Amino acid sequence: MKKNVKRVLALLLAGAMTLSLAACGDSGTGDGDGKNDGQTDQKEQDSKGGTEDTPSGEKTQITFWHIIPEGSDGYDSLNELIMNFNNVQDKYEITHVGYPFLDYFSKMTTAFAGDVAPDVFMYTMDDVPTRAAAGTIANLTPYMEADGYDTSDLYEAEVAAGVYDGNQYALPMSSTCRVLWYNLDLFKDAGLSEEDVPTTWEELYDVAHKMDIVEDGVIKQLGFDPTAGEANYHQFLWQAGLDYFDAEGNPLLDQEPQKEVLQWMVDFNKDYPASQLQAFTDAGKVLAADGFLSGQLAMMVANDQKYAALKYANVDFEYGCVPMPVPAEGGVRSNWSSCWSLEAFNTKDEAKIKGAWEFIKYMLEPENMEAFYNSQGWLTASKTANENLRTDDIMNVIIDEIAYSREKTYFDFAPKWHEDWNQFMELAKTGTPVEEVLAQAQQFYLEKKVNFESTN
Amino acid sequence: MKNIAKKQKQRKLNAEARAGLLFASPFIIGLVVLTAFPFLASLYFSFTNYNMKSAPTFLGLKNYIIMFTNDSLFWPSMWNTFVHVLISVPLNLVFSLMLALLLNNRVKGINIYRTVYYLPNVVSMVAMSLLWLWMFQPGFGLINQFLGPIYRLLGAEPIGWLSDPSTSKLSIALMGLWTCGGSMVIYLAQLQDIPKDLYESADIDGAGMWSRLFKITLPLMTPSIFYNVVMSIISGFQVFMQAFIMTNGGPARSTYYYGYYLYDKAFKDGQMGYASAMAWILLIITLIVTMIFFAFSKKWVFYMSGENG
Repeated sequence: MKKNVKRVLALLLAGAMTLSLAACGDSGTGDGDGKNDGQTDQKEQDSKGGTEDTPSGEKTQITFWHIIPEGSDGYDSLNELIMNFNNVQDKYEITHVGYPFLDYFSKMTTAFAGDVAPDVFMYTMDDVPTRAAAGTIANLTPYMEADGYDTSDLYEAEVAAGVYDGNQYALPMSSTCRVLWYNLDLFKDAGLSEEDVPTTWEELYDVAHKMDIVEDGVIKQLGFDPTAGEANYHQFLWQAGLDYFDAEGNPLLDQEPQKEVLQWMVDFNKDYPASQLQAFTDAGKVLAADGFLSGQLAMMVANDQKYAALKYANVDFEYGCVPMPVPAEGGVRSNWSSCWSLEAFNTKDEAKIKGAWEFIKYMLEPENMEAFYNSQGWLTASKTANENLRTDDIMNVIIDEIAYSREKTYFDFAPKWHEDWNQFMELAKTGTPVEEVLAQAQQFYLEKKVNFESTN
Repeated sequence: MKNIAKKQKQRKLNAEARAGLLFASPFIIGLVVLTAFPFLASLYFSFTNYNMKSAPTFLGLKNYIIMFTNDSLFWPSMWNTFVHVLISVPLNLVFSLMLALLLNNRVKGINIYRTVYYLPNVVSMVAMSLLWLWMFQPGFGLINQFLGPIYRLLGAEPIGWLSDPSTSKLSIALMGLWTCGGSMVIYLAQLQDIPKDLYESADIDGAGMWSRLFKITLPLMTPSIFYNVVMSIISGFQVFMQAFIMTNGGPARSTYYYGYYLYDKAFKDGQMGYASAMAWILLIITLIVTMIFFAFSKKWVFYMSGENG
């Protein structure tokens, strides 16, 4: 009898522990063994208002993942916007989940690999080709053609970034641009005025150095730093009418014009020790406050979100923004974009993909784009909606610059080539000759290309 | 009769074994599904070009060949990691041993001191890295502020710490000393185990403090020293988070450790197959170094039970 009791207890305990192990984690269940078997329903429903008792066969369930978690600013109005999709049509039922930005990409990668990705999701526009080539995302072109969808209200460069092999795989959900922010008070302190805000690299150099203040060998104020904020090498290359790679993905860093641009960046503040300049940028990293917000950097390249940051910080100086300066000769008005995309998971389930497409269309309607802006403060992908955001001179500059923004070209052998560059920029900043830095970078990218091509 | 008794005994043993296995089954399932399977899957992926987006293609040994013959970051990252292990392991050993000897005293409030020195171990690595990033900042960091008078006295430039390629690895190793409380606790436990009569006999024979330390304390602590050094070597080879948060692998790739490069290959380049191959190479290297250490341990590790003694 005792033995039987022991056995039963053991069975119950083992069963309970096994069940708790199986219940660990929050991913949806799957009943397919690959994309060809169609999408499984997402068990993870974290939205308000999504129904769980939808009569079967009437509405197709569509899940949407994004990077605005519940409880964050503007979530309620975003939830209202998303869930309103269920009110404006009766074929699909949307539910959505928001994840923190830092967790989002690892969750999406795992979801792709496990074939349990949401039906429609936000992602980054600059690497659409990698998902399109792998068959992870659905080709939207047939749906666009069937509906006669007109993309003229969206920015051409952003729409083009979502094209792979002649087909549209993603549409832009937002817009960004980079502009030159300036502290007008520091201009006035240096005897300058708003008319002196630079429009060329040459003016930028002259004006910036009039605002440098050094006391006892310590930089107290800097006019401009070509490596601070969101200024970067590839952006300056574009403005000089150059590029980082050619169309085939071969790096161009060993060419003279590319060297001249990097030399210009390195020489901009060459009179100050690298350690001094490092302290300036470290203050931003360590103290979470950049030199511009703290009134120590007179001009800085940053994106449109800097406006919200300036308002939130309630800074006590007068500021404005202008298009980024370009070389006086041969300069090209251009800035770096990093917008979000809307994409449909390639479930091979026609109904789900169609539902995802309907939701994408809904979100890209100008009035819904504007509602999204009101919720999150992100520039919209719609030209029409952005016209309603021209509330002041700063917004006018920002919205005008979207038309000149440009996504980074994606290369499968170096998906984050712009991040790979950081180590070389650091070498250049700490004294390694530009020629040597670019030679190392050239070899680095070529090696990556060769290795990738030999294994793919 | 004997056979029947033997069979009954066997049946009883089998029943007990089954019950035991049942109790252990959740752990075994977890081990197989969450550890063994991913472990073996990564071995398979190391021979493919798996990128987590499409089905992997078998490549044979290509990933390994590229690693050793055409990867300009493989050897520098490996070297950086070896240097980190060479600096951090002895530093950690000496510091935590000294701390344990110091805290092995009966003074008022000793438990508070022991707690204080252990507390950094429960701080998250991210929070710790951000804190030390501030401390090490050459211009306004606390460490250089504290050392300012010494710099002025010697007429020397402030140390660049994390901003200087020649001191960045040392800075990260020094930061690791903040969490030596974990090793200290193990040494303390071993110190409590040393029989007091050995010290009494040494006192009678006129042994001084240093003789007691080198002839009694340290030899009898060699088992815990051995354990801590092995664990330090293993965790040293896996160094990553500190560089990821504090230095991004710089300056001048001086803190671009093997673990960081592995992470970049996996999540930045999306080359999970190559990263898996790197992980297996790291495993083999760590295994070899640990086995060499184990082989030499027979010469210097003394167990009070009589092994190696």
